[in-house]
Parts: sequence; C-alpha cells; structure tokens
Amino acid sequence: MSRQKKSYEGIVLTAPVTVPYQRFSANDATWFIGQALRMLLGKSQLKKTDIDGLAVSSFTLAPDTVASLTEHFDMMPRWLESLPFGGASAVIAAMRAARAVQNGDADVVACIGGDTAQRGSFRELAANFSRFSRDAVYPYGGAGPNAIFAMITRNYMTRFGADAADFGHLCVEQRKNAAHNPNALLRKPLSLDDYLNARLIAEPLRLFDCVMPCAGAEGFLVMTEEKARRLSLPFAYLLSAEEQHNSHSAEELPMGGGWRMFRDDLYNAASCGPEDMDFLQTYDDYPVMVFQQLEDLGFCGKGTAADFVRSTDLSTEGSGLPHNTCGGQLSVGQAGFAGGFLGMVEGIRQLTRQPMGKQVADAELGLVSGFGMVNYDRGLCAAAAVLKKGEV
Amino acid sequence: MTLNYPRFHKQFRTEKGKLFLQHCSECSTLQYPPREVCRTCLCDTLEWKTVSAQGKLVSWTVLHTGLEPAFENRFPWKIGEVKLECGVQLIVHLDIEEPFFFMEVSVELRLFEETLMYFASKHQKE
Repeated sequence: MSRQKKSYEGIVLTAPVTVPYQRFSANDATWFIGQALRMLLGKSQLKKTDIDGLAVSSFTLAPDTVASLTEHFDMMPRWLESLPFGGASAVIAAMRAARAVQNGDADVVACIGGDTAQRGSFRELAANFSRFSRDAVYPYGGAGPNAIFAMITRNYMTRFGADAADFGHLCVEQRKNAAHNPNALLRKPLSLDDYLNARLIAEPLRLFDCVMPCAGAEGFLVMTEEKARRLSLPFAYLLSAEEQHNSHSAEELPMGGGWRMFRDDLYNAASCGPEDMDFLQTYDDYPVMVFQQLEDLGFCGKGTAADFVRSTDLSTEGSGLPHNTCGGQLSVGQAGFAGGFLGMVEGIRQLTRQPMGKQVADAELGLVSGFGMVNYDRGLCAAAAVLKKGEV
Repeated sequence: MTLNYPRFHKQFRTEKGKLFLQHCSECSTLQYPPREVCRTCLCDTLEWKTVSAQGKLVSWTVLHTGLEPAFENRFPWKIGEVKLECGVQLIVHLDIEEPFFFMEVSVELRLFEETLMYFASKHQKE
C-alpha cells in the first residue's frame, strides 16, 4: 500500500558535530550533550538564543530529561522533543525537527544523541531496560541484547546459508574505513582470522560482532534552506524519511526490522532507488542487522546479503557501495543512543564534505538507516532517510 | 535477581506438563511476558490459564559472558526461545546437550538462584 505524505521540502540538515568518543568517562550524559551543543553553536556561529528547538536522545540521561537540560544549559526553547528510540532516534529526530520547522513551531532545532559510559553502569541499564527485559530476558542471562541477536543470527545463518566468514568479511571491510577516522576507538586493521579466532560472546556471535559500548555524542542542526544559505552553512536535503515500529510481531524470530514496509514510499518520495545511492550508512549493532538492512532496503534480494557484501566493494574509495564510511559502530564504538546518530551525522558530513574518515568522491545522494529498541526478543523501531547534497 | 513483581505470582504455579499463562477473559488472547492489559483488546481482566508445556525450539545461543553476577561461574550457559503449542514464545534456560532447530521440547519451572524460571528439556514421549 502506497501512502503519500507531505514532503520535507525547504528543510535542511547541517552542522554535523561529534564529541570525541571515550571507552569510559567520569562525566555524565549532560556533559556530552552540552559539549555537542557547544560545538553546534561554534560550527554554525549561532547564539544559544537562536536555538529554539532541542531534540535529544540519551540512554544515560535519567533522572534528567530534555526538559531539565534546558536549565542545565540555560536555554529558553519553544519546542522540545525526546527520542527514546535507540538506533532509530537520529532519523526520527530529523523527521520531527523538520516538521517543527516547516510548521513554524521552531526555527532552528539542535538534534543531539549523547551518552556517557561508566564502569559497571551498563549492567544496571541493561537489567532495567524495559519491563519485558527486566522480567523475561535479563534473568535468563541475556547480556544486554547479545543473546537476542545471537539467536537472530543463528536463524539467519540457517535459513539463508550465511556463515561466520560472511559476517566477518563485513566487519573486516568496515574496519578499513575506520582506519581513516581518528575518532574510531578500534582502528587497528582486523583480519578475517582475527575475527574468526576472537572469543565467543554468545554463540554464534564472537567479540567483533558486538559493538563496544562507549561515551560520546553526535549532533546536527535542522533549519530552513534559506537560513542555512544566509549562515553560509553547507547542508543536506532531507529528500524523504520513514519510520515503522513493531513490524514483525507475527514472526517467530523476525528476518527484518520494518524497512520493507516503507521501502517503496521512501524511494518514491525521493524519486530514486537504491542503485542511485553514493553511500549507505546502516545501523550496525550486529552484522546480521546490516545484512537485513541491505536486503530490506533493496540493495540485494532477501537472503542474498552474504553474496552482496562479498561481491561489492564497500570501502570509501571503491566504485561499489561505500558503506558505513566512518567505520560504523563496529569500529567507532556505540556511544549509547548516539550510536543511532553516527550514521546520520556521517551522512551529513559526507554530503557537506566534512567526513570523519575518507570522503566518498562526488557523493550527492546517500541513505541512512536506523534500528532500535530490543524489548523482548526483537528490535521494535526502524527508520531510514534519503539525503541529498545541498546545492550551495 | 528474585522476581517479586505481583504480576508474576500466578505464573509460578506448577502442574506437571502444564504452564500458567496470562489469558484474556474477553478475547482469549494468551500472552507472555505478563502485561497489565491484554495485548489484543486491551481489556484488564486477565486470568491465568493452563496451557501445554510442549513446544518447539525456534532458536538458541550459548552464552560465554554476561552482565549478571549469578551466571559468572556457569558459562558456557545455554538459553533459547521456545514456541509453545499455543503460539506464545518464551525465552528459557536450556537443559539440552545438543539443541537443534524445531526440536520438540517441554518447558517447566525450576528453582534457579532462589527464583522459579523456565527451563526447556527434550520432550520425552510418554
């Protein structure tokens, strides 16, 4: 079923910023979000009073909220948004902020994903992630989401014949992109042997299938094209964007996140297809989810992602499909909900010629995908956006 | 790690070959994990109904590390997901040497770390 929704015409994404990642930090989430805001002001040359909208996604902000942040940062916004959607938060932040600016509810929205990571704190967060998780997953030893994605990975391997080396190939290729990104916590080259010989975490997942939790923040601004031009800020258009939640409740263990349900609408609204993309930023919490995004977003057929990643150059320098051009979370680290912002911010960076890693030559069009919130035995939130280089 | 939530109490009744699951008094939906309202019709008059403890294993993993101290000396530890005959899916501990896809299993409650939890074992035909 095709749906027509209002376009995001006239709205742009700009000023991508990244607060350097750290494995652990003694600072709390407000520091990371505050630093991101400061960097947004620095990059845009706007005053704090010019930012009249604030959209925040954070896993470690409690007991504070986006409302209390306005007092932390002494701001007086007329529009606030909180995005508890994990890895889908950045795409959804852009969507919400774009509508707010289109409707005049805000002029400039700062979208920030930021989290801290303190020793031992992850256990408490995982144990109390949600009611279902607390009651029916954590007591079974499910270490955060590892156990669930181990089971999803096993099903995918059995159903489609993928093997560990296929997932390893993806991890190895992403690590090559990370070599150029000074912010990546894991930059050392990874060989397939390193991947296959790494310790088991939750079979069939090994160490390098799992992201490294860390602290950091990512942010960008949403405003009108006219304002970005006036400020001489390079920008990206939001050509189209979609979100879909709890899409696979009828499947035993789902082979998707929800992207299939909106794929046609996403591409139709952007008047393009997967073959037109100059890069792809997927949400790589685990390699199996990258495979599912490649398939469900139409880059290859269902169950064929293993062949696709082996036959396609995924590096920033190749003529294939540059994928997770800054190294992705599997190399950079997962700074909580900022992990969902990594691909979006890198996408804006590529299109405004300020990448963290290598620039994809002549990048004009890119796709950013997000996925988040494992509540019981599957992820609930999927989102994706098509971005286009601004015509400055 | 004790589960003290009131909505769990009746779930932990035991009867051989049976499990107790939340059941909607209006639309007969069975559900797990326990909720405050029916997932289908949102009615809040939920009862506990016995269902067959048999099902099939739809996936599993062997944990080698974890966050919960209670498991520290137990790795490697197997857990899995079972689809019961009634269609409801449970995450369970596995008491199975060599799990395989769609293996017929029986689920029962066992005491683990002073808490009753679901364990699946190979279904023994009577």
